[in-house]
Amino acid sequence: MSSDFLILSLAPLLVAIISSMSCALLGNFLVLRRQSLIGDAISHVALPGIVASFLITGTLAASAMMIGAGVAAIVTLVLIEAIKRLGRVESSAAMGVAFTAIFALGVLMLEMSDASGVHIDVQHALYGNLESLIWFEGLDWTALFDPAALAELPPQLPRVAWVGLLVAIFVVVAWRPLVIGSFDPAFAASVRAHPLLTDVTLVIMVAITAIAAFEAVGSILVIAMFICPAASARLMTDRLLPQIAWSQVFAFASAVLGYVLAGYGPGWFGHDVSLSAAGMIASVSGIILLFACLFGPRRHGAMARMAAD
Amino acid sequence: MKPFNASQHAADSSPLAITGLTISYGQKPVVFSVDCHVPAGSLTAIVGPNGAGKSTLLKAALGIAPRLSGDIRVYGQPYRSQAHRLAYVPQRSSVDWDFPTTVLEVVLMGLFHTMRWWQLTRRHHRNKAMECLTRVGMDAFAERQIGQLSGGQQQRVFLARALAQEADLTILDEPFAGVDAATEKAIIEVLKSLKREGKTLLCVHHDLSTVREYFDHVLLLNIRRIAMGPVDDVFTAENLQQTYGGRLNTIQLERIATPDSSTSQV
Amino acid sequence: MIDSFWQALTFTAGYNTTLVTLGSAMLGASAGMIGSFIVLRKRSLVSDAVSHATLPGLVLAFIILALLTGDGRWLPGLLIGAAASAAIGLWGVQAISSRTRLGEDAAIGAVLSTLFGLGVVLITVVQALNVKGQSGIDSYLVGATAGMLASEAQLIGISALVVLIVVFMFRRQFLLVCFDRQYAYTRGINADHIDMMMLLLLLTVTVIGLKVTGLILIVALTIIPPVTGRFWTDRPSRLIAIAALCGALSGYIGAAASSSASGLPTGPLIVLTAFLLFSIGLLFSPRRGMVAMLLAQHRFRRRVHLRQGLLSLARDEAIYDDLTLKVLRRHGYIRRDGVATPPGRVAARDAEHEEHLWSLYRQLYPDEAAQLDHQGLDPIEESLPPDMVSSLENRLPSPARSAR
Repeated sequence: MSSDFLILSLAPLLVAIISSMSCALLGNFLVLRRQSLIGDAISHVALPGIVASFLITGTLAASAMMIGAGVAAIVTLVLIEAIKRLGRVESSAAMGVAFTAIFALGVLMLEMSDASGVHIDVQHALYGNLESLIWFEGLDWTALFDPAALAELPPQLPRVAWVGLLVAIFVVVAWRPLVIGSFDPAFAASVRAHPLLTDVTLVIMVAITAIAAFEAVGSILVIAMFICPAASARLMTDRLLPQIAWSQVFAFASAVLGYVLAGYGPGWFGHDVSLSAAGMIASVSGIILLFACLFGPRRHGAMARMAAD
Repeated sequence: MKPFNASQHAADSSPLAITGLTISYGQKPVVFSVDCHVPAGSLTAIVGPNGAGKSTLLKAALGIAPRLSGDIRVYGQPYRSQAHRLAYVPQRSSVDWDFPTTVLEVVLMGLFHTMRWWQLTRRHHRNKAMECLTRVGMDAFAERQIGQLSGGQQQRVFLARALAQEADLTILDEPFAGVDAATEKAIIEVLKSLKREGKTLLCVHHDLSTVREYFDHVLLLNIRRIAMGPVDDVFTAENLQQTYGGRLNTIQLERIATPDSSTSQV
Repeated sequence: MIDSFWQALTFTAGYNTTLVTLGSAMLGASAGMIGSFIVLRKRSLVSDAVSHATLPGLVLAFIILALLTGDGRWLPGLLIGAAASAAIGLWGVQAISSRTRLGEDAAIGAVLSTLFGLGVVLITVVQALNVKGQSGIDSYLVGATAGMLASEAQLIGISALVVLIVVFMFRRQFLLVCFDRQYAYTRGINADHIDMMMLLLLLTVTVIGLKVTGLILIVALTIIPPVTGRFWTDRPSRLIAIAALCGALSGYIGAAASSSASGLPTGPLIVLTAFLLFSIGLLFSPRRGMVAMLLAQHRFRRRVHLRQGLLSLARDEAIYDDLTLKVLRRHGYIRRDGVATPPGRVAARDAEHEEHLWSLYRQLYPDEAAQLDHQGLDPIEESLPPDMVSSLENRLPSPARSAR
């Protein structure tokens, strides 16, 4: 039993927890800045980026894929800005134009090339494939202390761990500019807290996190990880640090609960199958948000609460 | 048309010297070729009708709004190098008051330039912020969530944040818009005490009836500069007529522009 | 390949292909039309939430159909399921953004990702059930018209036509609500009902588009054509017409192209056609196109600098701005060393004279002056009637230079 867990579940569970928590950390700022849909746009274009990098390099090496997805994210952001500024199109419409067009290009390239025969296909890109992260060397608990066995861990795990660390460092270092820029951009500019630079860096961090998480959980579910825990946390408290703490708790809970429900849930009802873990994690985070919307102590804005008193 | 040469050399020391500033959105200038030298130690109002480019002028001075042409100097230097000497109080309506933060934390934002990223907020930072809150009469609200404040209280918190910056030049965008009478009085007291300390204040103002009472200098603006100078010289019926066009009737003008009718009891 | 593309375009590639091409064109037209109102309401991405939210209902309907009949691939049933869960998603977005402190952006993101996640979970249930036709579900992700039944194409085409007619009938009410809800109320129009109706039509288009463009790309058909229309006109009625036309063209060309070779996905081709039309508008529209705007901006900037430079010359002020100096030199108004040339002095005097005229005009006729758009950058003879100019000239105190 324990070796089953180590081989099959340890790596996916950790990947899910870490990516979920790092997405949620950044998600707090996206939700506060009312920019949640940037996450939506970026995660949609990861697929075209990966397809393009495969067509150019001919390999599915992780580094090439990450760079491809990163380039696609940057191209999309530039395109959105260009459409917004030069075409004077309102921002959500500009986003809708840009990311759907690039996604369409990705699907077209994928279907017309041989890439669909290889590892990537549309479904994987959308749903992710947590279950494939198997640790063959995890035969028993001593393997956790065996460097040789640890080296055989699926490479996705160290990757999301590094990205998680990077995200945490970013939030700590950029804390004051992030908060000031989210609250009052004009003031931030006047004290030279570099709101524009902070903005761009935040979006780049979102892209990096989305791409790292993408491979494991799929692009659409990345959006759930960015938004749901942070949105739920927003309904729990009126202070920023507690909000971030709540978002981390919710992210952790949805990852663990979602993974366990998907992997073992059907078994409890006597069915010997497992369900999509990524999908279940998104569903659980949505259920948490539903409860927060219904019962969260701070679900109404401060103004609405005053009016109700 | 405008006394250029007289103010040319004053530009070197002026807290804020704007020359030939033009800003346009698309093909329509919102500020055209404006010159404005704010005298040191003055309490200056920018007055003009809606859409006259008052807020835009301030934003351009701070480098927030892009300008088409013109030069802006803060204490004779480009803005970037002098940002620490300047405090900005944006319009209250420009931020989301539902943001998860407390009154004290907002005021602490004013200490941004004194704190490096690795420094934690220490007791002396908090004490400093509390002092500023006390000065605007908001010390009892320090731990409140900002969404629970009234409009006037929000404005006072913004002013406290500017106080924390200990700036030589403070720029305020409509600080009296939508606030209660008590707050208006409290704010003007603070502004006047800052002036007594030798600080310079520049303020977009919309209530013509209080200009004489509150300010010593005034810039009349309607896309172009109509006039600028000491209130007594410049705040005349003729200039106001030119600034506001037909939007003010003669009786209003007489009442506002004559020094005696609205004399201050202060 | 070119041949078969041409055949599809000219409706000579067989009955089914013709039906599919026509159906897609109809779908594009109705999506563009209803999308115009959604974009005008600045709620473009609501349709993103709606389209992703169709997945769980679609898969659930598939499971129920499969358990009842053994084969889940019955289009009307699937679409009813999709519509039901899309309605739940729509309600979710509305409820979250109106009843909690969260913004619409967070509501859209949360709803679309969670319901899509639920759909993915249900897809793995389908895989576990091991029933017939389960690979059919994938075609709803990115769309596939290859092998579409004639009856399915007819259903899509006819539903799209119905939506088109309904939108056309209610276009005035829709516009009024998009433009000014309060005013709509005073005219006896229940804005909430109209809003709801617009969203239901959007939902219908989304659902019938699933099979053609797939659920991820249908949102593009409701956003790109209206935004394209905006480049070409400022009038809402024309905007809707252009959006419908762009949508129809995209559907028509995209579907025809995808039928020209096997393995070409329909959805992406339709969306890329729409994006191509969009790009043409973005670049070359004479009113709001990039090229036109950049040129106008460039010219305007130079005009402002020229005028400011001439005024400074007239007042003997030093000029520091590089662009101003460059523009003046280019016109031959100053020498290399910055000293005004004779024509420069003349032009400067004219500019100042004109400035005085304008300022007198503003003083005498403040309201009329406020109406003028150009704020006194144009030559006064071109902007005001001649008798006005000469009366201003007469009233100008002389010498004009001393005016203050």
